[in-house]
Formats: sequence, structure tokens, C-alpha cells
Amino acid sequence: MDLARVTEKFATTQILAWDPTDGRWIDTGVLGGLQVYDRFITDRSFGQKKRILTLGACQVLPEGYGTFMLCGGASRYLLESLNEDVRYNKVYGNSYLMHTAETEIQLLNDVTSLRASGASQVDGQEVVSTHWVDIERYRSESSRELNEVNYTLVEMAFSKLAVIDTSLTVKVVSTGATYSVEEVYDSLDLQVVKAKRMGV
Amino acid sequence: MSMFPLEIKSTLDKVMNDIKTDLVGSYPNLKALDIDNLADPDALGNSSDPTLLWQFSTLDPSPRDPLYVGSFLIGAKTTDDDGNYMLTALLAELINYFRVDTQIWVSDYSGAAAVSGKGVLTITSILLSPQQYDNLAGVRTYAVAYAAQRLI
Repeated sequence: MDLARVTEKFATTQILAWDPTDGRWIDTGVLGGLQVYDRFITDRSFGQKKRILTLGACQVLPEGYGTFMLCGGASRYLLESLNEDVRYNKVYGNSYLMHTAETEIQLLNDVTSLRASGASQVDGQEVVSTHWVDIERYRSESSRELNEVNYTLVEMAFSKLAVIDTSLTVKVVSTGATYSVEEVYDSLDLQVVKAKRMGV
Repeated sequence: MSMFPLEIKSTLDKVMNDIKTDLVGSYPNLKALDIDNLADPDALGNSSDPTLLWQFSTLDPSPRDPLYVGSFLIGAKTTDDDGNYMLTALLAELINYFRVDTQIWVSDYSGAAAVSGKGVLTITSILLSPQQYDNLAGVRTYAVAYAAQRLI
């Protein structure tokens, strides 16, 4: 039996990719399908955020994009990991672990000038790029000086292609909330950012 | 209204940035970091490059304005510095700029252009502190005491 024909039978939906520079969705030319069996009930949110996307034998998601959505659906996904399905010395399908990303954010960079002392001063901020990310609360950090003040630390999952470092600020488009980037590290094909909430 | 603390702090920033410019030829990738600057990205704070450090600490009227005494810290941080020779060399360089009785004219460098004639400070002592450790880096500082006069 040609297993590739089986996987292609379920790869029936057009996949779109997010272009962060232009800020628009483009057609990848690839067909795939989300699996209904990948959802499970749990008190942890990851049970609802991880999805399995299967493509047909010869199809792979294009390089150069990390955020996708299925045409007709409303959810956005980050590519977290690729798994090949191989049998009889042939790849008959590609399964991708996808991570839902429902929050639109902007990465902001400080626009600086130099004082006479050589120290820099921030004159404003500019938008570097726009991304879809997943934000989860990580923990609360107490202020070292003020007893009643707590700082919220969050974890943000970005696509592997986002260019992020600790000099940038994250701004949530819908609420205006801003976060200072504390740490950036890789997890599978995602970039994970630990960020601290600025203000309340 | 007097802004003397700001003027002293901005003068210290200026002096340390100028020292960095003087020394960067001998110490490639030398950086300069105000220890208390929260806005500095990690690129400076946890950089593995050698870094000059400073911290504007105190400024107290003595006995009253326009006469002051105060202190600040200056020092250096190095990473992967076998035997701390680069760290000690940077400290040796720094003390040449802050010898006892050195006078530094205080200007307001907080804006785009300097405004001079704000005061003068005189170094009265400079004491080397024991080495500290910051994760991967060795840090060592001098505690510098000064007397200052604000020009009216």
C-alpha cells in the first residue's frame, strides 16, 4: 500500500504563512490537515495549544516562515517541530507539531541619541516587526525594595525566524501592554522569550 | 534651582566615557557601563568584553551648599581573564586619572551640548576594594572620595 496516498487524502486544506516584514498572510501552495485526535483535556494549557499538522508525502512547509494558519480557520500556529514519517525507505508523510499563537505583538526598538556625557538617551520607539505569539504567565517576582509590588514574568513563544534580543520591548497590539525582554532561548523550532511586564 | 547632583553625575559619565575612548586602542572591545543604569541592555551588562564601570554614590553638603563631599565607585569587569591580569591593568590605568588632588571641572553634560562652569571637584582619596564576582565576570572597584564646590 502506498502510504503516501493515505496521507495525501487527509491533506486537503490550504496553508497560509505570515510574512512579518510585510505584515500579511501569503499562500504557501501547500495542503495539510490538522488532526482531531491531538486535543486532550488537562488542567495545563498546553493540551489546548499543541496541534498536529500532517502534510502529504512530498510536501513540506516552506523555509523562511514560522507562523501559519489554515485557510478558513481563525487560529494561528507557530511551527514547533517537524517529524518525518518513514516506511519502506521512503518518506510517506510529514507531521508538524504546531503551537497556537493568538496574540499579535510588535517588537519595539529604542530610538536613541547621545548626551554630551556619552550616555545614551531614548527619544522614542520604532516598530521593528510584527509577530503572532503565545503568551503564558510564568511566575510573579517580588520587588526587592517595595513590599506590596510584584512583577509579572511571562513566557512568550515566537517563531524561530523572529529576530529578538534583550534590547527590544514587546508590545501587545490589542491591550497596549508592554514587556521588557529578559532572556531569549531556543526550544525545538521555537524561540522562547522570558519577559517582564512593564507597569500594570 | 541647583541641579548639582545631576551635573556631578553627568560629569562622571563624561569622564569615564572619555577614558574608555582613550584606552580602547590598548584594550580591544572595551566597553563602559554605569552600574546603576537600568536602561542598559544585557549586551553591556553581561557582555564578555572588558568593561569600565562606575557608580555615582553620594553627594552631601559639608558643611552646607555650595560646599560638598561625596564619593563614587570606578572599576572594571573582565571575563575569561586568566589570573586577572587584564582586570588589574585596567585598574592601574584608571588610577592615573583619579589621583589624590586631581581636580575635575564639573559641567552639565546631561543634554545634547555641555554647559560648563558648574563647579569643581577634587579627589581626596582613592581606595581599592577586594575583588567581587558577578556570575562569569570578575569585578573590582575603587572607592573614590571627593570634595566639591558648586559655582554660584
